[in-house]
Amino acid sequence: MRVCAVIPCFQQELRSSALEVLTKSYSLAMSLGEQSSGAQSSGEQSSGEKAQVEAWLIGPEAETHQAKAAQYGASILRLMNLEVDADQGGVKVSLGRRWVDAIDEIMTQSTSELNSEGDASDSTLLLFDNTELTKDILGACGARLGAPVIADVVDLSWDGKQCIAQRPTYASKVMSKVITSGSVCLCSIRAGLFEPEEHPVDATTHHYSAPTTDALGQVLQALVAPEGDTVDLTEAPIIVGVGRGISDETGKELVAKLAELIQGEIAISRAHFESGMYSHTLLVGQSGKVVAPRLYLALGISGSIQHVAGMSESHTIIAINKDPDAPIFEIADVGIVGDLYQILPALNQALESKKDE
Amino acid sequence: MSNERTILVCAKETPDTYSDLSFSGGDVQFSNPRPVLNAYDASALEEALVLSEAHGFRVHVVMIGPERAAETLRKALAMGADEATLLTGAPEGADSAVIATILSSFVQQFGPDAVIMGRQSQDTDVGLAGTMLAEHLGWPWTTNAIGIRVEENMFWVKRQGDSAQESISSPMPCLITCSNNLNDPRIPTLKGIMASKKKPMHIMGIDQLPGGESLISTPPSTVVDSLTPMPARSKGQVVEGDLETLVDALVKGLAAIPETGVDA
Repeated sequence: MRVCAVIPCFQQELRSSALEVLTKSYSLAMSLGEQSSGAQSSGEQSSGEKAQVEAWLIGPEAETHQAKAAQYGASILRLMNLEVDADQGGVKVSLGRRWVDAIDEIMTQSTSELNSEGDASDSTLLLFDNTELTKDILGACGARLGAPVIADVVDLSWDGKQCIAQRPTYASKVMSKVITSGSVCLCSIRAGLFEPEEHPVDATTHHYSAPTTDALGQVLQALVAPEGDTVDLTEAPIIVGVGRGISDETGKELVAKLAELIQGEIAISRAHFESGMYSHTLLVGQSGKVVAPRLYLALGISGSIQHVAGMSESHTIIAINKDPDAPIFEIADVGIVGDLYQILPALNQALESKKDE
Repeated sequence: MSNERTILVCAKETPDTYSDLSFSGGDVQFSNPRPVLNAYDASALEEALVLSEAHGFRVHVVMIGPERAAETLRKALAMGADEATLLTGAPEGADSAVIATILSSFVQQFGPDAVIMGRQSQDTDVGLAGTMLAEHLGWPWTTNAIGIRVEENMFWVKRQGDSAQESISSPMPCLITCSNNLNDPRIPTLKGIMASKKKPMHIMGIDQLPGGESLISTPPSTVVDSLTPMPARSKGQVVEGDLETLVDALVKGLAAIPETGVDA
């Protein structure tokens, strides 16, 4: 049995969502190991097959992340460089089709290697994070491999045959239990829910060449990377969410100052998607990023269903809004009723004076 | 068939998930009993209509659903689509893979120049059917579009990626999935509603499509076993009062989170 963490390697730093995927892969493999040793001690016939944790490191920085993958429990590393279609300000992107071809190739090659070594595995689980990159390819990967797919899961168990997943549905108001089975299953897991844990192992490394991809005439013409930091919100422990309540440059400066003081990253609700005040990549909600930070500080965010679907898994929510009936207060751990333009200057000053102490 | 180029919009009707929700017998019910056109598909349709106005595409909408869904599909015609097809008789519990296989059969028979659809449905938020369909068709795809234009017989799509916007050009035919941040879908006008009654709406059994028998008999590979209410977040304290009280409460709240670096 194989549990394979599919890890995009485009940056010098590994995303924490990748570490979460590795951690979840490791814990799934361990629970399988326990099941099979339990079967042996009770005298039943068991293959005694232990689940292997594999990391599929795909991208130009695949070599860079080998050590980290082994540190987080992957004992088999499968590395493939991938052609980059655009590189702008350190942001590198490859077309989705290259990804699907790459995963298909590693699947085919590794399966035939294992078969020739007499190590054939009857079931394989591929785990992905839930980034836009994954969303761009997951369905196509499932169709290519002829494998069932469950997207955006918050909990998952696998016994080598059946995959049982929990995933939020109906704008995160309902939990749906989804079951699938197949010799290969694909799952993407939501970021911020599995604490990364180190499990250092000795790893063996296998190298693969990227297959030739027919891009079908498609060309990645340009990348527009946001100015300044390209930090990924799904990684941030502290998020300062900005809604309609912040409406001008003065407000924007107050928010920037506060974010700096509490080491937070700025996110926006849909109200700011078209205001032009902030970059579109900062959108949190059902149609943007889904985040689960330690703290979500909601500034002037009313709490629409669409926005809440993107942040309701946050560990702590603090909200400031001048409307005491704003729905955000129904889910906030601390709700502050008041005018942001009065509160933020005073808050920033209070935090600054604490720093000076 | 004319030489006119066609955009096929794949749409779905969903419950009105933005209305209040209640549970009865393990099933979910919404306070608005009328299904709606999936918001992401409405954005896809809006974009198709804008492209049609600029470049003269014919816009055809296809939906998989029960006969009752014709009512929702009629709204798409009222928005301005030229023609619609309702595919009935989908297998019980059809998942994304089953839907993509059915659509693939329809698209191959129909032969549009592009398929445009929502990136996910607003009820399940799964978001797999689009790229599954593209893979079945062997077409280039672009997901999460926030801007679409047509130039030199190519579709130019601006897609929102993880940390940058990607501008991708694709020859026809291609498949595009849309964010609902792409536009504000138009509300049907009275004139549009009147006109929609005269527009062609085809109702067709899925078993009539090429490979129809296997399309309706293949069981879904993923099964929704149960639905349960999400554990609701409990309402915390709400602080009102003078500025000092509010700021004190905030500083205390921030200091409780070590990652903020705020001292208690």
